[in-house]
Amino acid sequence: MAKVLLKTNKGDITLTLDNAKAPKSVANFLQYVKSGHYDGTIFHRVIDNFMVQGGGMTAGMKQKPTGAEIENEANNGLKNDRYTVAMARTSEPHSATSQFFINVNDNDFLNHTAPNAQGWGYAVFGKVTDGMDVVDTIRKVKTGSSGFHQDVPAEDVVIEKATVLEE
Amino acid sequence: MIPQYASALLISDLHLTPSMPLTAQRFFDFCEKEGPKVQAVFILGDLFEYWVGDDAAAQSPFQQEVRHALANLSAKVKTYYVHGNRDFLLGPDFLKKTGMTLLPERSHVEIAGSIYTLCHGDSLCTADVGYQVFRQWVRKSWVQKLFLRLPLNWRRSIANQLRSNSQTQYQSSSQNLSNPKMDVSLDACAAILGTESSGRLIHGHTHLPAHHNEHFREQHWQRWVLSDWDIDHPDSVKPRASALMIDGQGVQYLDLIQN
Repeated sequence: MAKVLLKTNKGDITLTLDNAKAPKSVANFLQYVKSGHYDGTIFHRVIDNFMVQGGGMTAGMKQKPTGAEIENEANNGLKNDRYTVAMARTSEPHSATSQFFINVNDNDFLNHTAPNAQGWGYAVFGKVTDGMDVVDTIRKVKTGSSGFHQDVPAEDVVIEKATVLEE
Repeated sequence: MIPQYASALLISDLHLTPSMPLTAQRFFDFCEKEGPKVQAVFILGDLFEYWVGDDAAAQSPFQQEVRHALANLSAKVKTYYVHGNRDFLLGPDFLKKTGMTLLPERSHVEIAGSIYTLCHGDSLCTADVGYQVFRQWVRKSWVQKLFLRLPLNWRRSIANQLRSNSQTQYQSSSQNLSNPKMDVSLDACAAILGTESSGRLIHGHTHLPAHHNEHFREQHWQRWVLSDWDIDHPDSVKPRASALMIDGQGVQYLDLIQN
């Protein structure tokens, strides 16, 4: 099990990643951590009782360039339960790049149900093993609209540094 | 005679379509799980994304599935339907097969000892003058009769055209949440409640779920807006599905995603 530390301006979050069940998503995530991609990115979509999403935008809602889209591993049996971390994507199932989200509720409807566009679900690849209180602080922040985006925190929630603790 | 119930659930704006299977599944579950726990279920319009005639529904496996779920629910509790702006052509054949009773726009019901006025809500959006003109026309029975005589594929393409127009308008104005066209007007609420006012109005349509305490001139009322449902697009919209629950405990929103 790999471990990653996200140092945010709201506190530290430790993620434990499931290399066995989500090898592609984990390798992809670790690569972005090592390249420093996540440093300075924000949690740009925060919906309490649902999830907090980040890893793709910098302050001011500027999108960062990313690598290739990866295969969706949502059919690995891991569920989108509270404090799990999963890959964000567009409406196309296999379109995840760097953005991820932390579930702050048991979001059953995000789980894999069928191998088609509607049923693919969202690939869980790890969970928060330390800093749940930090996640709870983030999910409660005030949000508003910014341009075309809704649910954007009024004050930036920044990942100052992401580091690999164990591989 | 106003119907009386000790408890009820109210939903609207599910916009059911085969392309939103998770939302549809939540509705099927609702019909089995939450629905039978109260005495009456009220559907205040736009259960379907569009409706081009009961004859079209009879040919669609998806609509058969919805019909089946509704019929099972109606076997257990009283079910009512109010036409929405998308499914106002839902007709006697479908109502009969599902066991639902059609209510007119602006209906009164007594739930847990209080009287409520119910409507879909599009008639309250009087700031959208263009829509109100359109609404007057399509609610004329002779216009509807003519439309229903058109071949099914013509009707579908007209419906698709109307939906895409409304979507363009909705998207351009959803960037500007204060657009008064997208919400009800207070004078229209005051008018629908009337002077013999129940003082309690429930509607859907605007997709702006909230409880309001409002007044217009001398008239005061409470207004509850029902939520639309969408759990099929979590990557772009906040997932939502809820019902308004009224019983001896009062009025509350029942979150159907976390339950």
